[in-house]
Amino acid sequence: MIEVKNLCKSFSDHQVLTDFSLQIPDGSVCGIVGPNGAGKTTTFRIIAGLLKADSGEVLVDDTDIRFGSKDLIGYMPDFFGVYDKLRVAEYMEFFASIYNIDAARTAEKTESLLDLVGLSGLENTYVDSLSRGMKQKLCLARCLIHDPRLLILDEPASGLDPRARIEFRDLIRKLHERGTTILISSHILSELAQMCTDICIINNGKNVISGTVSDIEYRMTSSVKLVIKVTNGIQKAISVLNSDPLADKLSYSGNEIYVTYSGSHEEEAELLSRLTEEGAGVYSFGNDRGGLEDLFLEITDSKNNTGSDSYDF
Amino acid sequence: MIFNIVCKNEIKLIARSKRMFIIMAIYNIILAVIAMLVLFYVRNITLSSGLSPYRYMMPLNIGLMSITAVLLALFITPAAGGSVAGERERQTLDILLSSRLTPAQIVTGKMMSSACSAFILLISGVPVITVTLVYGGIGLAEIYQSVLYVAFFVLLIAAVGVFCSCTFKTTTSANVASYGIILFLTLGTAILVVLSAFAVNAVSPDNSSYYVGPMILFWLLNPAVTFTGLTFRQLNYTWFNYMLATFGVPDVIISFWSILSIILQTVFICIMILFSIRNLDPLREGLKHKKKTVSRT
Repeated sequence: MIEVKNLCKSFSDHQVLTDFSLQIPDGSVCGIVGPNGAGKTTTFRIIAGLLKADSGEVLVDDTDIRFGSKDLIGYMPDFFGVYDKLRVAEYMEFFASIYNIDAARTAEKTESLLDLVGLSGLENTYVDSLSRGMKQKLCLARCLIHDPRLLILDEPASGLDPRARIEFRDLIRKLHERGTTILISSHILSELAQMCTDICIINNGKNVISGTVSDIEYRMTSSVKLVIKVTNGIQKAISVLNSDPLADKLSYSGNEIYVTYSGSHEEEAELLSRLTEEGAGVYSFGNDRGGLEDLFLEITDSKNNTGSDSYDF
Repeated sequence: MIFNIVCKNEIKLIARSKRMFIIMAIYNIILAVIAMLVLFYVRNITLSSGLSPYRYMMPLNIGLMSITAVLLALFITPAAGGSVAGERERQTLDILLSSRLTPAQIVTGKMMSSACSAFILLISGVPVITVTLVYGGIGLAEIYQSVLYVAFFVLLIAAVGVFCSCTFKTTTSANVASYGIILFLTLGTAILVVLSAFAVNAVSPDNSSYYVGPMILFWLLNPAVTFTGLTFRQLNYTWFNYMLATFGVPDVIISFWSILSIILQTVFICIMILFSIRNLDPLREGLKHKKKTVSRT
């Protein structure tokens, strides 16, 4: 378990992080989402040991990361840097030698990592002849050379074309399957929703909400939008819904009914029973909670409007 | 880890850049042209006057070593100045700092690689410098002494360059600051002490005193003055010691001038390295943070 506890950081008079705390379970892919200037990169830089927090601590298995080994972390900044005059294999060898990995193991790791990121066969290619997406992948492979416990990726998909983004997303999935704990930030929220197991929304340097993606979406949405599709008896279904006090904002189009429902899962099940009992031919009954994008906008918007410090459920 | 990884990587990058070969070519061409012109001039003089040419070899050697030192200062300062700042501009510094490498390893690696580039230039110029041995009149010991001091001077330049590189964010500002410090150390301190001596002389009652007191410490820090002292000793000229005595330097310091100045310059190099490490350490306590902590307590 990686724990970020009560981080505070200010630059001059500008408070960037205020008591920021976060728990990252082992093997999870934790996405940090927030508007520009929310404190994502500052958080990452503190965890990576590139910035000193005014107060607070980062614990890896209850050990403060400042006093532990830097081998625990693999960090890929938002602007990835490479040495253009080196060959791909030499670039990997350089970072392997930093971690005292012997030549045989380096060759083995380089081969497997380049294969993982899809750069196998390019070992002798000069880095400056790689495309941006390839350089990004090489940078990721470099981060993994010493098998870090936590991989920190600061906006890794920025500047990549759609195809490279999809490939990068698949790569994150592969790493997740290998059990790597990943902390990632991005402005492409829909992508984060697809690849993350956990999400933390940060705003004005505070952890507004964090947890698993589904948990957050469920906790955030006090009412769900039900989509009910019927083969026949649409009027009967509408009258059932009209009589239900938990149903609101009813509308329909063709044989599809849209209704905002604020009941529990059990009450949703009862509603379905009543609909079928009344003779509505329901062939589809589901909810549409909206994406992470909606959630993010809702939170950051409500924050901007209310100026409150935490999000209450 | 016998060899510094950063240095090893940097040397590999330097060796692959065209810049190093161009610099080496320019450096050797300048040295060779000057040596050949002087030798031609010496030959003509000796042929017309009948004097032995060996008497001109020691001044020629000193002249070539001085030119070598100036060229190295010109070529190596930007290399050292851009060493860490270049990493910052290339966005690779954060990667290095977030790895297992310590700021001390990065600083020493950068300094060693800058010094190595200079040593390569210095060694490449040795064949030209040994031309001064053609007519005799100069011992190998003198050549070794001069080369060793120039090598030490290279370390000083590298330390200043890396310090500026760690302190300033861009290569340009780091280079400007490096040149500024080197110029101050060589020309600036020389002028400062001489002007002080003249100022003292102007206000002294009998216009006979040139005593500059502790100001002379600046000259102990000045690598150009140290090199001049060494060469004058090689030429058996006493004028340098006489000038030091005029400025009020005690005899004991004059006797050990070269050693003392090398010790003081070594201390200066160490201070530069320590400050470089401090400036590069991302987790160092900032002054502002310390002030805040003090005020809270």
